[in-house]
Amino acid sequence: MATRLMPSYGWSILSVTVVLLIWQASSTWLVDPMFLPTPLAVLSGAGQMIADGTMQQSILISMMRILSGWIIGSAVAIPIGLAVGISPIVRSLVDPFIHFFRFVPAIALVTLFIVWFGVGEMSKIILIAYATAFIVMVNTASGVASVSQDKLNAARCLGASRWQVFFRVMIPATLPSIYVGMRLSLASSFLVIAAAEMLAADAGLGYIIWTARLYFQVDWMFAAIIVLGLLGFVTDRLWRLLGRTVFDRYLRSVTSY
Amino acid sequence: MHTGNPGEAATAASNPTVIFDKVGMAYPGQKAGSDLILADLSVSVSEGEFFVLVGPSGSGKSTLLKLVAGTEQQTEGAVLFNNAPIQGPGRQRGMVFQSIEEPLFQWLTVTQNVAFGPSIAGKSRAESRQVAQHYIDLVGLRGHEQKLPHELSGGMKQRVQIARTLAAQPELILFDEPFAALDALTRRVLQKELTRIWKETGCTMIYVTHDIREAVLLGQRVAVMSRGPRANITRIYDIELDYPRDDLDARFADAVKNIEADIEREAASQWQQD
Repeated sequence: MATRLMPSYGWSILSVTVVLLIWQASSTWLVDPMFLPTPLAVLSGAGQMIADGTMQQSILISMMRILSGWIIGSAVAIPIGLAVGISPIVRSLVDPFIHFFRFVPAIALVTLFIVWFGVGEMSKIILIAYATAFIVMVNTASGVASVSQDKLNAARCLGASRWQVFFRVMIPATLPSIYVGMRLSLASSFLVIAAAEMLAADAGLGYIIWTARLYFQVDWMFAAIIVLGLLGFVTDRLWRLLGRTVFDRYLRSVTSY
Repeated sequence: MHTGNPGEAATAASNPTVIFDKVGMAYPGQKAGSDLILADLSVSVSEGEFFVLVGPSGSGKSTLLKLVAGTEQQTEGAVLFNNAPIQGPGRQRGMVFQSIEEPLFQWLTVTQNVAFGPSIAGKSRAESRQVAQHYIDLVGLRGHEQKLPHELSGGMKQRVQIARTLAAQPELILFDEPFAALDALTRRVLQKELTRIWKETGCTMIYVTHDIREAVLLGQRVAVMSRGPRANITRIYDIELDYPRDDLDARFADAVKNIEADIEREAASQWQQD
């Protein structure tokens, strides 16, 4: 921090470049490029897929699944999380299920969901929603529980009814936890979508990774893997940008990283 | 200076706003039969009075405030506000907390924080803002209306808390060591201003502190509490000095000395019992 040799993103560019160079060097001299294609080969593989439109289509399909599942999962989880955080009775009723299912990985449910919901979009979206919901739920509930008693009492001593306390103090004070929960679950959505698309899909980035093995197109695998990572990176940055702009006054405690 | 026992004080208070009648308090979850925090406490506070409670930490001063605020319920006896038992918090009984960070709504500007009371009472946006502005001016925060709490100093945050409490237009304000976490200089300024605000608004004030100097600076009556468990008010001092008070005045020093001696005696007797 003391010396400003270059702006902070300069260091990031430097580290990425060095890693790419090491990769290029090792796949040129150390490892069989059949198994570890050079970055340039991956780039040209990606170029082929972009040229015939597979890449764009796959990105669109995977992102649609991720975003719909993520939004549906959060929409279900937030009200439940709030109820669990507020009401000891709801908490006792729901807690056993939350703490059971949140340890059942979504990937373990892929085949079951295919049996239940078919090979179409439905099974994948529900799977993402499942993977999202428990993370958001637990974060929301713990956010509610950690709202300071002084804040709630202050509102009540100013004349707020229980509902007014809920809508005007509890929810705004819980937004940071909801926001963080959704950010974490976004990452797990990406994990799940790749697995789901490998097992049952005819399109999507996971599908590319899985089918590339048939043609031994390791460069396609790498291209799709890298695109997944980049998409995750970009959505995370967009989510953070949203937190730092539109919702800044609610989220300042959690948007520093 | 007149001193008396709490029983006398209770009958002496004219037009009482708050009455504690043989109040005992144990928090739920405490072992059955374990000692009460407060026991057999009777006192009354009259309308418009500045009443200060002073005592060692753990004497149940804050608990007493919570009973008046209605955020806790006594286990024995009765707590009355305007002759009716207190059931839950209400707009008529405001509270200024010791914590500087937690009680404020950090996502609201100074104006929005202060306008919270009028706004939830159903006043229009314009009207709420107008009320808020009045109290923002009263506590000396003009020019900071659009700031968020994190942009304010500790003293300014406590000013926001006071303004916000006033804007809900309570009859009674409870103060739980509101300046204890501030630096000495800021504390001094705010103590002076609080008596001015009290004079201007005519609110009844119940103020808890462990700082005897502060108690004598602010209170018309200063009640000394014994150490808990089974804490009670041991004595009430009438401080008959004009506001604003001068802490260099000999009578001020006398009052502080008397109360200090009283608390030391209390502490000593506790040690002997132990």
